[in-house]
Amino acid sequence: MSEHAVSEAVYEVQHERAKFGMWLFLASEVMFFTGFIGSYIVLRMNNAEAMLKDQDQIQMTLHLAVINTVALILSSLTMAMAVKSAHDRKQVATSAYLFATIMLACVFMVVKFLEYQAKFDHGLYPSSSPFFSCYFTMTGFHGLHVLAGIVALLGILGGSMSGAYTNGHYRPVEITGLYWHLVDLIWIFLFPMLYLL
Amino acid sequence: MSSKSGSTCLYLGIFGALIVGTIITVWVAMGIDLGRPGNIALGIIIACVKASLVALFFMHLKFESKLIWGAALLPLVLFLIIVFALMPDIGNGTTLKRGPAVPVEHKGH
Repeated sequence: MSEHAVSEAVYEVQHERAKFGMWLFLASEVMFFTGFIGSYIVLRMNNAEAMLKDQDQIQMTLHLAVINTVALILSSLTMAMAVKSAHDRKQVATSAYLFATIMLACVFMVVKFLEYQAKFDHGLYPSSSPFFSCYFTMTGFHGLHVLAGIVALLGILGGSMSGAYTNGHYRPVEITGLYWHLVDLIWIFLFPMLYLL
Repeated sequence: MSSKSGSTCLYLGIFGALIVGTIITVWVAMGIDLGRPGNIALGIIIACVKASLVALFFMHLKFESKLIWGAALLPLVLFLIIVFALMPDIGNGTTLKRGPAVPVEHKGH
């Protein structure tokens, strides 16, 4: 077996192990939010009338939440395209899609900031009621995950722009992509749970 | 390379399906009255379908090994266990009942 073939076989094994490791980390993040969701379910079913009245307050900024949902779904698309471009060794496309993902993530954070500001302006804080305690905790931690994702994506973008993924070794892009898709996945459940149902 | 890469058309199709799912969720929640349990059930079903599309195609779970499938499905099993384990706490009066938040008038800047 040539040296190159051995090197590629070793990379392949490392690639699979890295993906498995990331999936285990994602599983722990799902459990992290499961705790909050479980608490919300109990509080919601035991205080239904009060929680639904508070949800009416949340629905005043429903349009902002819909913008955030579309932004995150679109960022998942651009992230998937970035991974595909890195797989296909297209440096410019990879960098462009990563940049688009970061921009959409920033849109999400700005809109989330505006939403929080609107709540604070009306005197609605985490201590206001059980519903708002759940709302601010869950969306706050989700926002922290988005911020962490932005930091990771900036690092990956730097690598892409310096040509680090043009030799077919695009593992960092794929691994970061897995994390980013989980951030979108969590919002796919948080949005209807907090705003609509 | 170890990972298969999806086509652009597939990704755009999945994106379209996610947007349609979002529109349906908002439309049903705000415009159609299926009764509260019906609205909740439909919302959860649509969310699960959207999450499955993201996991299977964007995260390439469809093409992954059984080991990674195990890591992906484990939290789902644990989530169901936690939700069912919380059932005794629902409706037995142990949760402190508090009223809704009282918003104040809009503060001008």
